[in-house]
Amino acid sequence: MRIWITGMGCISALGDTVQQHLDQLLAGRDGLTPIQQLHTRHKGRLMVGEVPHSNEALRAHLPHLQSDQAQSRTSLLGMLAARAAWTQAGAPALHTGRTGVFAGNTVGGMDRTEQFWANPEDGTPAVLHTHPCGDSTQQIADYLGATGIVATLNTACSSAANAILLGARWLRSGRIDRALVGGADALTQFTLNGFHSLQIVDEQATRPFDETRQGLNLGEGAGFLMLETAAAPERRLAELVGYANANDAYHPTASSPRGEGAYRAMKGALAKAGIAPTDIDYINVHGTGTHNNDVSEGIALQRIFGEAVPPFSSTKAYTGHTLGAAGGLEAVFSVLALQAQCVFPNLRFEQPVQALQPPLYPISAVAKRPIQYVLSNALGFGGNSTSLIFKMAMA
Amino acid sequence: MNQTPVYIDGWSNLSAQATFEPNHDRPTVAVADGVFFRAQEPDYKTLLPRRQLRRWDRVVRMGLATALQALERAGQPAVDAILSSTAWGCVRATEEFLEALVANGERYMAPTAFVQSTHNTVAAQIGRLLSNTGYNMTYTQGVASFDLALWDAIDLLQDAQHVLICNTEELTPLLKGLLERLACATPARPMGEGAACFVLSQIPNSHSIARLVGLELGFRLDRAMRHRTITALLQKAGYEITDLDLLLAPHPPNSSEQLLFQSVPWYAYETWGGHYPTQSAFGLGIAVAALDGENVAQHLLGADPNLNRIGLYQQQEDYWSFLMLDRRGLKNK
Repeated sequence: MRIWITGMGCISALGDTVQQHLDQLLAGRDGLTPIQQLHTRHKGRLMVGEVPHSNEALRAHLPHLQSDQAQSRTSLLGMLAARAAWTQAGAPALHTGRTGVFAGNTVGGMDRTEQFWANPEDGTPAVLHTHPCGDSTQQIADYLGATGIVATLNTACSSAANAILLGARWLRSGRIDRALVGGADALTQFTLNGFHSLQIVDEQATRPFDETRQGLNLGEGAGFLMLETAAAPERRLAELVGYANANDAYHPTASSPRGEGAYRAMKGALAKAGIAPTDIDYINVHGTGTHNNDVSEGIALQRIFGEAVPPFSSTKAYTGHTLGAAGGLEAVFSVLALQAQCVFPNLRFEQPVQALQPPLYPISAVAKRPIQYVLSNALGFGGNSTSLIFKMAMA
Repeated sequence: MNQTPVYIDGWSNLSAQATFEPNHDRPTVAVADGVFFRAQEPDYKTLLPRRQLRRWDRVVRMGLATALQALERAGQPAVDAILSSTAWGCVRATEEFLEALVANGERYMAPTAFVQSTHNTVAAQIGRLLSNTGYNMTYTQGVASFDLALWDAIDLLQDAQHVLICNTEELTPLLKGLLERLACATPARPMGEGAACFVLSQIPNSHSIARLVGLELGFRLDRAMRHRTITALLQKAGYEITDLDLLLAPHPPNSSEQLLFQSVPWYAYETWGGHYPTQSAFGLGIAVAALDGENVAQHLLGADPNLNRIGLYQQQEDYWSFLMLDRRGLKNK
């Protein structure tokens, strides 16, 4: 059974449409700015990948949204990206129960919870109904009229990649015909201060896989794919051929020195796809730009690929780290690389990480090249590691 | 539908009842304290590595203690995957970080609570304690969370030999206050908390307590369709509704459920554990314990040597699920 991608949608600091994302990726223009909207003491200082629209503006693009039902920013971003993926897939009717909605997020409705928490005696605790991560996915399913299975995963920063993996497995079970998969996360005080307190936030624009990297920039957004088992050739955007999840089993927030989780995830995905490491033409790495991640992931890459590490880049240099949405957005970017037959540069790279020998040089400029297979990594807190492999859809 | 049977080899149930302590000699039925049940927790110092204990939040301790007990009962198999579920996540840590945000105006933030607030903390810590580098997944979908993880486990067992699945849900003083304000917790329907963990295997063995015959779950399915699906699941496995010796559900039956399950004795388990989103894990814990001959479960359900087949059903909000256990041919029968 083959799994085809028939629709894509995304929203992030790079834009509101897939086309805008492609344009920005090809132009080498990031979406990072000092914080403008998020209510925080770090406003105007820390660099983030913020979606430059208020919740009201996002809502205005979601007609027929039930106004009596509250939505978190995570849900609004998710609805926009999921609707775009569904639209590109031909806007199929989803009320038969044969379409699953699988999504990752890490903060759920934390934005609204924070507002409530500031004055808990005054506010109505009913806002907390949007707090659970599962509420966001349920609202996305409801908005599109999907009546089948709904599942939310929260495995931190690998959540959306795991949702893609899970959608593929449900399709393979024969239980559903279509899976809307991806992830969404909004910027919140909670995550911003959480990562800041871990001292892994770079106050400047992040520099993944660079020796001088100082950490990550947070971002927000959503990325969704429509997966189908039966799709006419002209509807196929790409194929999902490999997926695997593994556990680093090392530390709550740091990756192991040998990158065990990432290594096992990549190895598992290659095995599932039935291809050799040499078949991979481009890697969209997790590449958060923290000291720890880039060394650990780099070593895992060298363990898999030896001295012939394929062209790779971290697109978090464009979007910031969108946490529970990252695996979804980067899956869209992986398919874009296949469609455009083009790799996207790892912005702001200057000198390779000294701890990695032989040195690893990410892609520094847009390059046209034949690409058949793209590997995408997503690594999360707790050591959760997921790799996905996408293949060009043959005409 | 997932029809391939799998086997439950180990279980652990940390709940408002004395379900954690093995063969509690004087079982009684614990009642709610006001509008909440509180889980009866063991002395973790005797169960978990002392050096790490202080670093683990209460909900993590609950998860780890049940994981270790379930593995022990299953004969300490090496598991290929660790799954967890929680609707609420790690509440205490989340509250602590939120409180600090507000109290200190985003200044002097310590990362400890933030790190522990992540939903996958329990599965990750079980993985770390067992040095397990296999598949590790955490589900959070309200009342469906545990059943979705169970579906995943059954699917994995087509290839995997052993899978560990753990559910955790914790109440905190702050959360209790909010749930009371939201009128979710009432004297008529007290709420609860707990952790339950199971080891599932592909192949029956000397530890196998029950065969999990099949699992069905769905959203927004009308009553007729739901009933047809359940009947079809049982038929495919060679059973009829009346083959069930008893049925466990969170709630008492409504008229249509009475029609479907006919004269099968019905037990509503939320009166023992309190209601909480992922209480289906508690229900499964009670069912497996009863089939394993545990005092407390038999005290709740009535000791019946002919108890072999238990159905577990829930229908809440737009969601429903059904599964069946059968112990015939396994270690206790």
